[in-house]
Amino acid sequence: MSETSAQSEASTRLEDLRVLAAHAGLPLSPAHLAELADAWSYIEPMLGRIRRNRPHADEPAHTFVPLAFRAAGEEVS
Amino acid sequence: MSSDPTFLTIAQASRMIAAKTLSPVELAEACLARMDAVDAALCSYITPTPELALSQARAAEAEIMRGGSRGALHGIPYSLKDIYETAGIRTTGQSRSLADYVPKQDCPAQQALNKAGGVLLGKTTTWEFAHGGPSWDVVAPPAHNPWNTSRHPAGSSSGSGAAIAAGLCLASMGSDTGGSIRMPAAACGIAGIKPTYGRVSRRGVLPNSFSHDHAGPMAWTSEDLAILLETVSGHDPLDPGSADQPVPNYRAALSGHAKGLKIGVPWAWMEQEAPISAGSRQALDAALEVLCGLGATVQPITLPSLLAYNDCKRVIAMAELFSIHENTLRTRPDLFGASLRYRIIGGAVLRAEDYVQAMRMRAELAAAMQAVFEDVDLIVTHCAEPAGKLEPTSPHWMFAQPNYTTPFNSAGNPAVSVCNGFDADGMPYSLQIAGRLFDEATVLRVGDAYEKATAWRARRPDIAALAAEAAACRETAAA
Repeated sequence: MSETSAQSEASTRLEDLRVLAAHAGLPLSPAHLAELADAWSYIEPMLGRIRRNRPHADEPAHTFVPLAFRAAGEEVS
Repeated sequence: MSSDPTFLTIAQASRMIAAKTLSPVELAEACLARMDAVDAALCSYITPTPELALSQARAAEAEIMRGGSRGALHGIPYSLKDIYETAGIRTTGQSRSLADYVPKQDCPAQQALNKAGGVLLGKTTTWEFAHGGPSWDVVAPPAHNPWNTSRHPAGSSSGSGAAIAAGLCLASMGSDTGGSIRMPAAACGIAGIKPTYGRVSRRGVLPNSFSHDHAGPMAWTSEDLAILLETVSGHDPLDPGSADQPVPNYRAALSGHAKGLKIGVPWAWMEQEAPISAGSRQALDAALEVLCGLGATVQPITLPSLLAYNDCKRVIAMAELFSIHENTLRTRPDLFGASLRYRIIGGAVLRAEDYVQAMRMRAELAAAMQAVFEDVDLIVTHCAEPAGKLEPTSPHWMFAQPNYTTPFNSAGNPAVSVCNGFDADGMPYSLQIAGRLFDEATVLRVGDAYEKATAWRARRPDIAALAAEAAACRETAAA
């Protein structure tokens, strides 16, 4: 890859991240955007390693247990 | 037994207090004197509470003299990581965003320790919100390792580990989201247990990652952990993650042997995936021999990769961490130290799908861990390498390497770190012992038997050298 296209790709990635952060309500300063870009270089491969294409019925680990949220002292009828 | 009261274990001190050969007031005063003498070099406390401690110690002494002992923790000095909410005592989380936060209520863990007659010496140094560190741009400077103050004490329960090893308290409560009790325990040569998820209430403990956070005790020995864990465990209906499980008498389970226990060792983690140093390997091999001598048998086991457990935890934890701090990050990002901000900010660009897929992966990884416990009673690994230099590090290091502690946060199983000897520089090696869900009793039994079969508990940091360093620090600060 030429230096120019690498610079262009980095600039596009930075712009993508700026838009994503803005979508999350974070108007990042250039310094904080640079922090995000650095963190993203580690996060992106991590996300790539999270296994997907699971059977439809595979449950996540945080299955909702309603009894955990009953009021203090509330009995189960 | 040590003639220095600050180096007594809880078990020893409580026997002496019961026999009226040790005064809780003298014990508290000794710990406070140690704090005065060396903490300028260790920075283990953010907020000491000497007046409260002396008042509680006097009350304990009077009550015990009247024949009213409340048990093994009555009159014992302890500290709390500065993420445990304490009524009337500031709880900063080591964050400028909470620098003046004074809770109105004690968290349940503090309520339990107070009820047991413990003597609160203060709030200990932590990484910011138990996650970002070591940092120099937060409320207080980071803690130093008492075995060598140029080394780090690991984190995030850094001050708790340093304070116990150097006799600035006999016990502390830490928290563990990916190893934050066990790594400082490992670095400081003490014992620390991450109990089963749900065993100890997290209510009133500043959150890091809701689904991985564990509150748990740290002390010099596994026997002391047993005393502390029994005190702070139990169902809390106001903590949605709390488990309604009976709490056994952990201390009664300390048999001094490991007869009949099957220990599994995931060699692929330590030999291929994230190879441990030659010194750590030698220490681990020697420890396994000791455990065999105590009656255990050792067999290899296969688990999913360390990286899978670490990736899964990190994605979930980043999303949860961002959800906790997003408002402050939007409005006052300058209130965070750079290390924590770096780790929060990535959560902004994760998608909901990433979080849910990581949670689905977690279910698979947890099931794989529990399947292994069908064949073995315990899993033993090295815990962490001896502590390195304390210096500003790029915050990405937390993403870069998988660690050995996180798999037990992902799966929820209890795991203890105990001291496993010392390297040529005098820094502690560590051993991690993990058990079945809610079987802390077996984990502590083996930790205790190992400690009693080895000589590592006889060695403490050089207090005279620490005091000299502290005096130099005070002189520099005054100049």
